[in-house]
Amino acid sequence: MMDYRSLVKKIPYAQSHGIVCRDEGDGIQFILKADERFIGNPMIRTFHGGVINGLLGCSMRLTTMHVQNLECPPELISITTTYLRSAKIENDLISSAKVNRTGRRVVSVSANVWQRRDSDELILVAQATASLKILENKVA
Amino acid sequence: MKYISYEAQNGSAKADLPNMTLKKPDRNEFREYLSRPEFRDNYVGLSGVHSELGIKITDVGEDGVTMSFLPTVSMAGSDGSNSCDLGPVATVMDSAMGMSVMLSLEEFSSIATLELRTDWIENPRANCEISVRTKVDNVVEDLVFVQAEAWQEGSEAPFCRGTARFMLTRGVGDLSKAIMGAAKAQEFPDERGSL
Repeated sequence: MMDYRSLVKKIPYAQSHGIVCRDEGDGIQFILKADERFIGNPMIRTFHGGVINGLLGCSMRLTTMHVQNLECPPELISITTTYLRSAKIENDLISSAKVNRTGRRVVSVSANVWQRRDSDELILVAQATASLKILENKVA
Repeated sequence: MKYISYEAQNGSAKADLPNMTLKKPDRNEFREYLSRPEFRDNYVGLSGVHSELGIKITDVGEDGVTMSFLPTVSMAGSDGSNSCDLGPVATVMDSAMGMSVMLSLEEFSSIATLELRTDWIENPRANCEISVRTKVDNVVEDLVFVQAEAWQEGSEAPFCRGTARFMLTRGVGDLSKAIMGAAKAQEFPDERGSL
């Protein structure tokens, strides 16, 4: 199985956004560091919804790649993201994904994004489910 | 002409206290400003994400807007491929849909994206301009239903379709006002000091 630390290198978009991953024992977490360049609404200083969507997409594709032992991240077929609350730009975003079902050609995945707030408690910011296309790209 | 002025600096816009005796901005005025290309950069300049992506507003219509951007190689969705990742496309879709919601309202309100779904028909290429066109389907009480499609230069068929639900959160709509305020400050720079 591929070393989880090198996963992010497989998606240039994830690398350019400075997404890092860490193994939390029960799964890989993907962290997007808080940065002014991710602000969507400057009036309330929150992460842009599209940036959150991008993090969820990377998290789901890379987790599937890791779990399924694929050569490259699977392609998206569709993704539905539900935004539960706004994510203030002051704190990092943390995402993790779970493969729900694997077919021969399609994988169903879900993912969450959290943010640590003042109380140090993790607050759920967004959830997503997606269908991914797995081609013949399993590592031999 | 007097107006309420807002300034944006370093991605953080701070509002001057609105004097309620001043002219209240209205939706038609907002649309009028956005329909003039010279003021559209004010919208892009307000947000860090928009500036970084280099989003351009290319058309503002009655029930939707068109935005475009040029994806770079650093936005690729897979190492060694020439495809653009979901992130930038979803960002522009969310922004374009949000703006079309703001334009469709009878009065200013803050809005929030509740849900965004994107269907990927094929992968977009990097280094080839991507355009996103939106259409507001319905405004039902505090919910707004919007759809969007994204396509690339040289192809009329969309590579991605999106649908979203927005909620009117009934705040004062500071972002819309900030966009319009910045446009007005550009048009009437001498009046900024008189507020």
